[in-house]
Formats: sequence, structure tokens, C-alpha cells
Amino acid sequence: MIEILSQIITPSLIYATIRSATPVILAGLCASITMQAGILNLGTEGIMLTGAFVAASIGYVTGSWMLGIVAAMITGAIIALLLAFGNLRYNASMPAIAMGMNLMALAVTRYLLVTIWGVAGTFSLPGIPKIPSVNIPFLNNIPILNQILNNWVVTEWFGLILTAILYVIVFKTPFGLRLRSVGKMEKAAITAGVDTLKMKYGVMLFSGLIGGLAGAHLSLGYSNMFVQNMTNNRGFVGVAAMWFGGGHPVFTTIGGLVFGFFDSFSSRLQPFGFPSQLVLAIPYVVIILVLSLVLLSNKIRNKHKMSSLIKN
Amino acid sequence: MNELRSGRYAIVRKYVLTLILLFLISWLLITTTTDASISDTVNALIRGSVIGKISLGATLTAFGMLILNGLAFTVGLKAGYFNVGITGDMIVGAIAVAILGVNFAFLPRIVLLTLCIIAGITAGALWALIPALLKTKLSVNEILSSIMLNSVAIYITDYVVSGPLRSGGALARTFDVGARLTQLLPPTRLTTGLLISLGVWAAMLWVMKYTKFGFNMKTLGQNPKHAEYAGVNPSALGIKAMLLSGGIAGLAGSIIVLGDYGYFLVGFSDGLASRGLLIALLVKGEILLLPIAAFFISALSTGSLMLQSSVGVPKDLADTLTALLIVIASMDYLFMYKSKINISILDPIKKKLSGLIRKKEETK
Repeated sequence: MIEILSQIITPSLIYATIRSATPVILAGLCASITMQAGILNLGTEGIMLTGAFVAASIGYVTGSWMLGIVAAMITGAIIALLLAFGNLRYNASMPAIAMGMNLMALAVTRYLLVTIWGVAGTFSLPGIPKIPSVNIPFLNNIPILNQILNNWVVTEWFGLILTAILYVIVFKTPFGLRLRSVGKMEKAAITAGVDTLKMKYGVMLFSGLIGGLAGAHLSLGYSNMFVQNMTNNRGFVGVAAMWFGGGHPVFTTIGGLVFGFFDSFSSRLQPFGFPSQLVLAIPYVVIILVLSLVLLSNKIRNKHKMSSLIKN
Repeated sequence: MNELRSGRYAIVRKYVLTLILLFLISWLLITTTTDASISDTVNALIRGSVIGKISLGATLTAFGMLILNGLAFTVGLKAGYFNVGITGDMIVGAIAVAILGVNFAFLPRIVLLTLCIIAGITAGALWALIPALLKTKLSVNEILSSIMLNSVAIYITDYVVSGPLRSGGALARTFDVGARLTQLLPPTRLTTGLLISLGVWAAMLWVMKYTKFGFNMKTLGQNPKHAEYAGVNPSALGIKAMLLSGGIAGLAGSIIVLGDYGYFLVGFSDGLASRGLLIALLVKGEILLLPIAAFFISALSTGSLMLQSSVGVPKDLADTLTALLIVIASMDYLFMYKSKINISILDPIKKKLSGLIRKKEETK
């Protein structure tokens, strides 16, 4: 057992964790920013999948990964705005319209894969551009750090930077204060003169941009192709990471890293003779367990708070 | 305003307008992305869904499945659970049936069938119990936990099918089960499973109308606060409802294994649960209307198989339209605009008019 663990836990596991965590981190940030305004964005999965398709297609046509990302972000924003429009104006319940949108993303991308590119299942041509990696020259000669920190894809760095940016926006700016007031107590926000409807639309738009980026990273950075249903519930895992962090961008990212660790850890278990299907189920079981534990500890903490109030 | 919104006329108009919108969007999709004409497509859809024994048999088989899926979803929804875990419940129920049916093939047919169905229902109900308990005890969002559990169910059954129970062959499937439901329309997959589905539907109608459980569910669905005031324990009722929902889904899985295929086939549940979600949303909890929506959607899904071969339209069109319908059906106020005109456009004019009249009266 220890022998196996020593083979699995190596410095390269750190980059493997980052690699499989980044799509989840971006999806989690997409969900966490709307959670600050009290909207549970379950459409993350669909936004990501459509974004991945658009990024691969536009990237292939134009040959530029930047244009692919931009197109994916715009598409993501459109879908998020549609969700917001249905939810806020036509009183659609978020789970219903979001699940509809997710299913639509799955079906439409499959449909367009056949009608536009004439392939079923996988769209993988040499013309699809790849998001470049960041090569830090002086690290090349340092053995372990080179393995850990060098040659990250641009969007992998950006996921961590975006976490910091969102943290500053949400917790250190007047806009963030207003945004949080919408989520915490909408009536108070209205009384204080915040245009809550505008705020909600704005935050959904922003969330769509991040979700589109997450999709583009999946098809242009994480891999170099589009496969049907390539998100494979990563959007929902992102929402779970957001829940783990209670909507806080930094803790959301930590949640994403926890998933990334177990994902890469369990995929490294496969060569050691464990049944591959059971090994692949580990990250999902871990998500349920971790989420339950976090919510349990929250519950206990709240109980303590309540009882201390009564004592005083 | 409320009368208009809940009025029959407005609801019928909503459905008609929804269908027209759906038709326009599918027309746009078909003409812009393929060479097929719309009349050919509609023709192929109808031919593929209800004309002829084979098409009709396939549609009716799907119809029975969709009734169960729609029921399972509706029951959960009434108790406040958005049960997207139906896929998982169905798969777990089906694998339980397959394990029992393959290993105990020596039992008499009736005994084996009964045992298998009971096992399927129990397995589905227990699998649905996990998100229900997580939600009531720890307030874990049931959508997230069910989706994770769906993945876990898929991986576990993949393991069972590829390992211990693998029949060996091109299809990823188990050995044949020892007993099967009676076929109704021999070359097709239609079996007495359809009658079981209709029986469950009738039973649910009865339960919702005449039992205390049904009454409590209805109260909870209409007004949770009133239900709690009237002495309904929402979390206990929710757990019961989820057990029922998972049980119905498990039954659906058992019927697929015992009736449709006679073995467990990996990926049999693709798209079933989403169509069930759709019809549950379409009928808005009215169990009586469920079969109408189920028939429409099952005809659409089986007809779409014909599209690919005869007019070259990908069969994913049906899934796209299904998803689109979910989005449209989820918007409560869409196409209810008559009442909205009353609020937004006419009201200011009325106010001005009444103000003018008042001014005139004052000047008099």
C-alpha cells in the first residue's frame, strides 16, 4: 500500500491536480458570483458545454485561440442572460429552466456536430488551435519547481488570478458590498437604493462570461478537441465546489482543488489493478461526503451560535 | 388578473402558442442546417411514430416508460424535491433486477418476476433515499447530490456489467434474465410492462385523490406554510415522497430489464429521465393529464429515429426540441401576456382617465 502511495504522490501530482481542477475552479467561480446575488446558477454545465463547442468551432475556422475564447465567452453570456430572463421576468424556477438549458446544450452541440462538421461524437482536427503554455525560462534548470510550476496553460494561471480578482471585487469594493446585500437581504438592498434587478442581470452576464471561458479552456486548453458531453458533469462539480465554499471565491477554488486532487489521485490508481470503473467513481463519492461534512459542521456551528445567544 | 392567468382559455392559448413557437424553431433549425424540407420531416416523424405495427409498438413502449418517469418526477416535485436522480434510481433498480434474474433463473417464472420487481422497486427507493436524507438532515442541495449519485450509479453498474455479469459479445450487457414479461405485439418490444405502467398511473391518481398521504402531498405542493400549520411534517413527507419517486423509477428500470430487453444494457436510460422531467413540467403536477403529454413526447422521440434514415435529419433534433420545450414550459408567465397588458400598458391610461374624470368632477 505504502509502495503504491509513494509512486502516486510525486511532485507531478501537484500539476496534475491543477490541471484537472481548473475547469472545475472556473465553473465554480461562474456559480459563486451569482450566488453572491442569491441566484443558484445550475446552468453552468450547459454554458460550459456550449462554450467548449463554440471555442473549438470558431478556433478551427479562424485559427486563433483568442477568438475562440472570446466567441465562447459571448455565447456563455447569451445563455446566462436567457436563463436570467426566464427566471426573473417569466418566473421560471431556476432548477427547471437550467436543467432544460443543460439538456439543450447537450442536444444542440450533438446536432450541430453532425450538421456542421459532419462527425458524430468527436470533433478533432489538427486545425484546432491550442491555448499556449507559460514557459518561465529560469525555472527550466530547477528540477522539482520546474515540474510543478512551469508550462501551465495560460487559462490555468488565469483561474487562480480570477479567484483573486473576484475576491477583491466581492469583498473590497462598494459594488461588491451592494452585490452581497442583494443576496443576503434583497429588501434591505432595495431600501438602500440598489437596483437589484439590474444587479442580478449584470451578475448573470458576468457569470456567463466566466462559464464560457471555462468551456473554452476545456476544449482548447485542457484538451485539443470537442467531444460530445465533454463537460461530463464538471459544471455541476463546480457548483458543488461553490457550495463547499459557501459562495466565497477563494474557498470555491479550494473546493475545486480538492476535487482536482482526488480526480488525478484516483486516475493514477488505475494501473495498480483496481477496477477502473470503481476508481472513477471515487471523486463523486468524495464530493458527496465532503459536501455533507461541510454542511454538517456549519449546522453544528450555527447550533452553538444559537445556544450561546440564549445563554447570554 | 388572477382569473385570467389561471383561466382555461389562457392555458390553452399558452399551449397552442408554445407549439407554434416550437414548430417555428424546428423549421428554422431544419432548413438552415440540413437539406430536408419541413413537410418531408413531419411526414417522416408521423410515419416513424404511429403508422404501422413496428412504429406503434415502439411508441407505446416508450409511452409506458415515460408515464412512469413522469410520475416519479411529479411525486418528488409535489414534495419540493427536484429529483434529477431518476436516472440513477432507474439504473440501480435495473441492475438489482438483472443480478437477481440471472442468478436465480431456476425459480418458477411468476415467483422470479415478482421477486425481481420487488427488488427493483426497493433498490430504486433506497437509492433515492440518500439525497432525501442528505437534504432533510444536512440540507445538501438534492440536485447536486443526485447528479453525483447518478455518476456513481453509472460507474458501479458499468463495473458489474463489464466484470461479474458480462455476457461477452459486442454489446455491453449482462446475461439474459430467467423470466420475461409477456409480449403484447410480438415483433416489437411492447410487453405487459405497459399495463403495469398504466396500473401505477391509475393507482397514483387514486392515492392523490382519496388517501391522507395524497391529501397531505397536495397541500404541501399548493402551500407549504399552510401544510406545516395544518400539521404536515414536510421533511417526513418529503422522505416518503422520495421513496415513492425512487420506487417508481426502480419499477421503470425493472420493466426495461424484464420486458423491453430481457437483459441489462449499458446506457439504456439515456434521455428517458429528461423526457420524464419534461412531461412532469408540461402538465404542472396534473397526474390526470400525464398520459397525453407522455404520448406526444414518446411519439416525437420514436419518430425521430426515422428522421435520420429517411430525410437525413439527425435524431438529436428530437432531444433539442425536448429540451427547448422544458425551457419554454418552465416559464410560468410566458404567453400569459393578456394579463400583463392589463398591468403594464392599460393601467397608466386608465389611471390618467380616472384622474381626468375626477378633475372634471372637481371643476364642476
